[in-house]
Amino acid sequence: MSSTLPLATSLHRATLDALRRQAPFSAMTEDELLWLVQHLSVSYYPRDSVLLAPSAAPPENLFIIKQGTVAGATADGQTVLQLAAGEMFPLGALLAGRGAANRYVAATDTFCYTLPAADFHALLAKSPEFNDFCTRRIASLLEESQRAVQSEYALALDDETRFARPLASLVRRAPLSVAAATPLADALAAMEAARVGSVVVADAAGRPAGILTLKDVLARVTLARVPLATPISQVMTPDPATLPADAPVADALVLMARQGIHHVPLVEAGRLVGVVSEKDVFALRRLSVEGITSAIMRCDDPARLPALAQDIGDLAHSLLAQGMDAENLTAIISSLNDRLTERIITLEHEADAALAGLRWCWLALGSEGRMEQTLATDQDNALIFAEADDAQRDALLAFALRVNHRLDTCGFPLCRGGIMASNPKWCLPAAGWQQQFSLWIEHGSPEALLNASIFFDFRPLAGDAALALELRTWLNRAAQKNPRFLHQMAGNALRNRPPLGVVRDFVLSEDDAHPHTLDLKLNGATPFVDAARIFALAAGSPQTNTAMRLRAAAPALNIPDGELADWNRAFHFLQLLRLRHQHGQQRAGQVPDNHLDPDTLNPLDRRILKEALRQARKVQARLAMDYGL
Amino acid sequence: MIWPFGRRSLPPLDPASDARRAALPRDAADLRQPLAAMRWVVVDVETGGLDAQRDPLLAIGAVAIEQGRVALGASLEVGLAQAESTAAANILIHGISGSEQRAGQVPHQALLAWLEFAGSAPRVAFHAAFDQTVLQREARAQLGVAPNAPWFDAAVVAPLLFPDAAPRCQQLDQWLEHFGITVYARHGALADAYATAELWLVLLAAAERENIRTAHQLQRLLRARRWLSAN
Repeated sequence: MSSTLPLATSLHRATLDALRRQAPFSAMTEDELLWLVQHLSVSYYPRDSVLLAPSAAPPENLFIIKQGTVAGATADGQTVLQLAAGEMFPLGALLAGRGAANRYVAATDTFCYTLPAADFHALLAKSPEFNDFCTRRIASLLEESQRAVQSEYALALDDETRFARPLASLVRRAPLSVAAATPLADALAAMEAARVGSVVVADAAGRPAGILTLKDVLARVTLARVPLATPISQVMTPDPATLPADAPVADALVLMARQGIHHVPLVEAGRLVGVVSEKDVFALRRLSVEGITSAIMRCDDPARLPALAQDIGDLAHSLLAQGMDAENLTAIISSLNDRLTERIITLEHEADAALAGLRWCWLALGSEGRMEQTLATDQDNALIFAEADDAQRDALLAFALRVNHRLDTCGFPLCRGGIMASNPKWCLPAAGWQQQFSLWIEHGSPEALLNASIFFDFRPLAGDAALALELRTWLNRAAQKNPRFLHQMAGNALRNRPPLGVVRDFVLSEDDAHPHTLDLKLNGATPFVDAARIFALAAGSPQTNTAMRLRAAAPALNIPDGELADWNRAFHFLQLLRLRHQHGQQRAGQVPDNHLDPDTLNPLDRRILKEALRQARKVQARLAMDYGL
Repeated sequence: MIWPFGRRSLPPLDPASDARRAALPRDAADLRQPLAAMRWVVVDVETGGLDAQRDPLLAIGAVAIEQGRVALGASLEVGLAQAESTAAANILIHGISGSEQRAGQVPHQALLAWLEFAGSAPRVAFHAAFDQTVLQREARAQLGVAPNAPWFDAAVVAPLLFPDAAPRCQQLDQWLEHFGITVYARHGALADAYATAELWLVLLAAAERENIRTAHQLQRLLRARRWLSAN
């Protein structure tokens, strides 16, 4: 067919008239509509068939439901949308040019018009009404986007980098090996004790000479009725296939698939250094919150914790790639980091007799205290104790220092500002903390306000939580008694303005280190965090999490539900952008930060970012009103 | 296309039309390709009466199904200029006024437009024998060609795939109602062709469900059924 448009047929007219009964088509001109109609096709989808599946690739078509009902469901199968005749999808994914996050299934037998993506964009350019309709509903787009940040690049890259990792990184324990003459009874007992599925038979030089797996035992020992006194060398698989420890994970996958084996001994200079099983390889793909949590809880060797910290990072990346929203994602990251920190603390505490009988509590501060950790997080922690003599205090400091260093090896760099429990300034008895907090509240100097913003988000993480809770109660009372302090905090918070321009979209940084960027943390998330902290202190709420603080404070401040929901959505969108930005940087081997060039965003996200910053302004306006600023 | 007569015995046409006639495709489509990839042309004709051999062809309406989708842009709607208006009775059925009839295209041009649109694709119609007879009759009369593209009858395929509904459904309207297909305007050639196309989409989906993967398989199934019911 020629590329020029055919003359309008009666079918075009009839379709046009039918479409015109609904928005946004009702507002479009005859020419625009006719152009649309002549680019449409009609498809049929029997009930339960899939119209569009979540994918990394941008959708090929816009769907307009002609007749029938379509259900949209998230990756976990939760139905989130019911779409009826006249409705369009997937708008967000098409606008953003990224894969659809939802699965669209015909709930009834359905006919849909489809419009190729290129024609959809042509129509956006052609028709202001259509454009406005598609991009206007920011709240719903925001939702779509939050769910949808299926960072296309992430899934593919994750798998690539995972399988490119050296096999040695999968090794979680020293290999179990026995000598060739070992009786089966002893070898099997050793396997049972070590809870492993294979045992390597090594020669005197430590070279793998054979391997026996639990599966082999069934056929070659049990069913063959081989006496358990038999040396293992008689039933082992001799000369097993091995791989160098620095070979990529992908090599093990290929080897296992080719030879139908489930265990591969790893060697360094010919000597056995570990064994990877199929389970180890595939566990990479099946990282789960439960799996990591239980691995952390079972871990008795602090040296193994860095690998688990790496798992937490991998899980966060994969959840991000699957489109998890920021509120849940940051909560998961924080809670796994909590478990890890707790485990480090427990292991270091158990090993130290000098701490016996002491009452103390490890405090998480800053973003960890708020359970809002992103991927770039250094340590912010402190210690509170009941009472201790000098020697005991020294023991606590030494203990804290060990924990701080362990955390450092797990990817939580030491705090450059020294806000860590091993710093004598931040390892204090309860009375010491009250004194310190009082000073900040009464002083109101910029430094005091800055410290307050970090320390007042404290939360008990390990040890005796009662110490922290008492301090929280005391702090809330002290803050409420001192309205001047809250007033100063509000004034300080308002100095940090969301970077929205009058002329251009965004006001961008002009500093040389990060030109043409905006700071998503300082200028984006912080206005929400600061306002929420002040609201919570004023309301005497024990919450430390920003969304929870806003929710808890809303009734007392008469903030309407809709407004509250918008604030939280905007805050979490900013957090999500930070996570995605940091994720991209980590994948590219860069140090994650918060400096984003908005030009790198797609038009939808740019638009939502603008809206989110506008919400930040609204929160600040509310704060200004409450404190007469 | 099969060209039953020598080139010299074709009805003479003006040079432009003659060139278009010469350019018409001669190969039939491959019926063994997957159903979803098949290009189908769904057609309906209007005539001046119910006699397929004699009554004049008034209009042709057709849409194409490509990649499992009815493409709205390239739909065909041509009226044929008539020497004299047909009986008023039929105008009541079809709603084509005398002046509209006369305003149609020259018949051989209309037939060329149809054959160019249809190409080598298999044709689909409801009660296809009627449309097939009329269109082949006119193609031969106006252009001297006899296209050999296969015809599929939705009125035969539908009961084959939906035997339970068959006793209640004979007419196109009844099938449309059975499947809950709403159509905008009926009883124009194009509107009926389009309605038939939507029905065909439903039937194609059902064929896939029955593991009928190609038009060729569908054709064999139809032949087997004809043989069965003839015995």
